Amino acid sequence: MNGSIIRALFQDSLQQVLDNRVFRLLVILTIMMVVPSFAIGWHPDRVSLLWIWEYNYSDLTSTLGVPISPDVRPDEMVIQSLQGVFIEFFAGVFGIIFCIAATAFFVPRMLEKGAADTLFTKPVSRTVLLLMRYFSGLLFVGILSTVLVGGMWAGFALVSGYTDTGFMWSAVTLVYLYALLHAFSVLVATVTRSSITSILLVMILFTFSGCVHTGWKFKEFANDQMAFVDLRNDMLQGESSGRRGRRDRDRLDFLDGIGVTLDVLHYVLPKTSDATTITGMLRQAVEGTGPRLRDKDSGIEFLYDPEGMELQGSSTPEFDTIVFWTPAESSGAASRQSVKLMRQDREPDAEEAGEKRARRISAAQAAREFRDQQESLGHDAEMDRVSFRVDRTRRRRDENNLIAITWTEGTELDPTHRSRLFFHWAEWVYWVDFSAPESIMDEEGFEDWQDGFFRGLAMPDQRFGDIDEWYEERFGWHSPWRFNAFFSIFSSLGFLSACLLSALFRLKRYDL
Amino acid sequence: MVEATSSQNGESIVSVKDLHKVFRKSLFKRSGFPALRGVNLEVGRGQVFGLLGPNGAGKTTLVKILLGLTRGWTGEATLFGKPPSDATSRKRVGYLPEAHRLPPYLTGQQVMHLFGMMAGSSSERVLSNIGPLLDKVNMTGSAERKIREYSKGMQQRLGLAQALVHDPELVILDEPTDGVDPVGRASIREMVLELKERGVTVFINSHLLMEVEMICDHVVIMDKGKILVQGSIEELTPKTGAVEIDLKETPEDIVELLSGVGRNLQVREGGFQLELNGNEQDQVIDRLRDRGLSILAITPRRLTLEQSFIGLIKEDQPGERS
Repeated sequence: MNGSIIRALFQDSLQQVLDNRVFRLLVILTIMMVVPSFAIGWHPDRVSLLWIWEYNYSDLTSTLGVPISPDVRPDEMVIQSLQGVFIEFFAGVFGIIFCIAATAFFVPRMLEKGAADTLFTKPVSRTVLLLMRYFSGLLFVGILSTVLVGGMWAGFALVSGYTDTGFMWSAVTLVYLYALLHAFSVLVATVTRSSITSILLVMILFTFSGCVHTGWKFKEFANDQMAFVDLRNDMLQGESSGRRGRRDRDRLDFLDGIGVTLDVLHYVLPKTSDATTITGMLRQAVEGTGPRLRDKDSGIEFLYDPEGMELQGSSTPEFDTIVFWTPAESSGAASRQSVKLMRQDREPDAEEAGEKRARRISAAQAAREFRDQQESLGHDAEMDRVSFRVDRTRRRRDENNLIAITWTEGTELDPTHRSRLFFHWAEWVYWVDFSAPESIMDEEGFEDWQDGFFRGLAMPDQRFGDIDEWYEERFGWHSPWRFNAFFSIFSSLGFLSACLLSALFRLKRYDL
Repeated sequence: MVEATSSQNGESIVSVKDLHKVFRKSLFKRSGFPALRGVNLEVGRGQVFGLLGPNGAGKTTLVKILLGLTRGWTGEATLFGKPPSDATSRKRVGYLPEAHRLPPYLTGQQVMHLFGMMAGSSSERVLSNIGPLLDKVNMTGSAERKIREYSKGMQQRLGLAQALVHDPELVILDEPTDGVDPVGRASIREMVLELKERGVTVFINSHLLMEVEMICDHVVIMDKGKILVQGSIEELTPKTGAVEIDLKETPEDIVELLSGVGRNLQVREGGFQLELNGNEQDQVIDRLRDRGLSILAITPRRLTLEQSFIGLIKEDQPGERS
C-alpha cells in the first residue's frame, strides 16, 4: 500500500464525514453551545454579557435560586458547572447517541452490492477498508469534540480569563467513549449489513453496560459498607471475624450468583460509565487540581499547600507518616517558616498494655498530653478547640474538631509563633506543626495561615452515602485492579479490539 | 468440457484452469448450487474478450473469482500470473461491476481522483487522466456534482471512466452499457476499441450480443457453469449458405425467373434472398444478367451471434426454453 492509497483513504473518510447532514447539523448545535462562552464573561466579582451589560453574582443567584458557597470562586464554579453540563450531559450522552446513529450506516453502505464490488477490487485489503470506516466515525466525533471542547476552552480563556488545560482531555474522553460503542456498531453492521439493527443494538449495549456498571458499583459499595460495619462491630464488641463468616454463610446462593454475573459482565463489557471519572482524573493530572496530599490508608486529603510553602518530596505525593513543607523563599526571616504533618496509630500500645481491647487515643487526649509536655518544658501553651468546615463529609460531631496547642518560642526580640493542631480520623491521630517568626506574621496572620491550610482538608465519606462519590474515591490510577483506571481503560479497549477483530473475521469471509 | 484458449502473443493476462465453485445452501451442507463446473480460460494481452451466457451461467462468478471477491473455489485462477488474492495484480485491473454504486458523498471529479489513487497511481498521474476521460464519457460538465445527483446512465459512464483512470492493463466490464443511451453506448464502444489499439486487454461480460459482436474479437459462451463454445466472431457466426442479392430494380416475375435454382426464395423490395449451393450462385447471376437486370451487391448471409447463442443455449437446455 503506497502513499497515494493512504492519502486517498483518508480523503475518502474526510469527505464521508463532511458530507454527512447530521454532522453538519451537529456542528451547528456545537457552535451554538460554544457561542455563550464567548458572549458571557464569568469574572470573580461580576458577570458580563457581550462586554456591555454587567451583573453581580448575587443578582443571578437570587434569580436562579442557586446558592454559591463563600469558600469558592463563583466564576470557577459556574464555568466548571457549564463544562460539566455541556460535555458530560449533552455531548457525553445525547451527542454520542446522535453520532452513533449518524455513523452507523458507514459500514453497511460500504457493504452494499455494487459498492463493495468497486471498493474490494482495489489493491487495498478488506482489513484496511473496514478500519478506515471505523476511523471515519472517530473523525466524525473527533471534529465535533474538538470544536466543542476547544471552542469552549477558547471562549472561557478569552472572555472569562479561565484557562483549564486539563479540560481538553474531555475531547479525548468523548472520542474514547464513542470509540467503544462504534466498535460494537461496526461489528453488528458487518454481520447484519443493517444500520438500523446496528443502532438499536448499540443503544441496548450502551444502556445495558451502564446498568451493569451501576449494579456492580452498588454491589461493591454494599460489600464495602458491610465490611465497614463488621469492622466497627469488631472494634466495639470485640468480636472476631466469625461474625463476618456467619454473614457470608447466610447469604443466599442466588445473590452470590447475581454478584458473579455482575462481576463477569462488568469485566467483559466496555466501562462507558468510567469515562467521566477518567476525564476528571486526567484533568487533575494536567492541572494539578487534585489533592496536594492524600493519605491512601484513611483517604483524607489536603487540597493545598500552606501559603508560601512547598511540599517536600515527590511531585505526586502520597501520605507518609511525616510530611514536610519548606518555605518557597530560601532567604530572610521567611526561610524560618515550617510546617510538618505527622500521623500516629490510635492504638499504639495495645500489645504492650496487654489489654483485651486497645485504648484508642483521641485527638483531645493526644493534645492534652502534648500541652502537659509543653508546660513541663516551661512554655505557656494554650489549648483551644475549634471546629473546622470540611466539604464532602458526614462525620459525627466529635470528629469535626481540631484541637490547637499554641505557644511562643525564641527571644523577646525575635519571637516565633508555634502551634500543633490535632485531629483524628478512622484509625489515626494526625497533628500538624506550624512555625513562623513574629517578624513576618503577627498572631492573627499566623491563625489565618493555619486556617487557610485546614480549609483544604477533605475527609472521605466512609459511611453510607453517595455511591458515585464513594466510587470516585476508590477509582484511581494506583487503585486495586477492580477500581483501577488503567484496568478500566484496557479492558474496555479489549472489548473494542474483540469487536473489530470479529468484524474483520466476518468481512474476510464475505462472498460478494 | 471446452477449453477456451485465446492467448495471442503468448502472454496470458487471465488464466483459469478447471475452476469449480459451489454455492452452499447452508453452512453445514456440503452440497449446493454449482456455479462453475470446470472452466478453462486463457486471455491474452490486447484482446477484447466477450463473455456471454444466460442468467445464472456463472459469468459474474467467474469475474468475481478473478478479482478476489469470491472465495471457496477450487482449481487454478491467475491474474497477471498471480493468484486473485494478491492485491498487487489488482493495481493493473480496472473494473466496472454490474449495478455498481459509487460513493454518493463524492463528486464525479473526486470519485475519479480518489479511486485512481486507491488503485495505487500517483495523484498527478490520475489528475492528468481525469479530464480526457470525462470528455470521452461526456461527463465534463457534471464532474463537480455529487454522485447522488447523477442519473443511472451518468453513473454508468462515470463508473467506466473510474475503471480506466489509473491506466489499467486489463479492464473488466460487467454490463458496461446497462442504462446508457444509444449515443453513450456508441462512445463506450469507441473507448473499448481505443483501449484495444493501445494494447489493453478488455474483458466484457454482457447480455447485449449485438454490441459484443461489434467490438469483441474473441467470445466465450457459458451456460450452467461451463463453457459451451469459444472462438472468434467469424467462427461463432458461420455462413448459412444463403445469399442476399440487391438489384437496381426487382422484376415482377422474379420467382419464375429463378425457378429451379436454390431454395427458400424470399423476395423483398430491391432484391431477394436465396439459399444456394455449389455453382448455383453462377446460374442465378447468369439469369439475372440475361434479363438485363443490374446487380448492386451479392452478400453471403451469416448467422448472427444472437442466433448462434440462442441455438447453443437451446441445445444445452432442451425443453427449458421456448
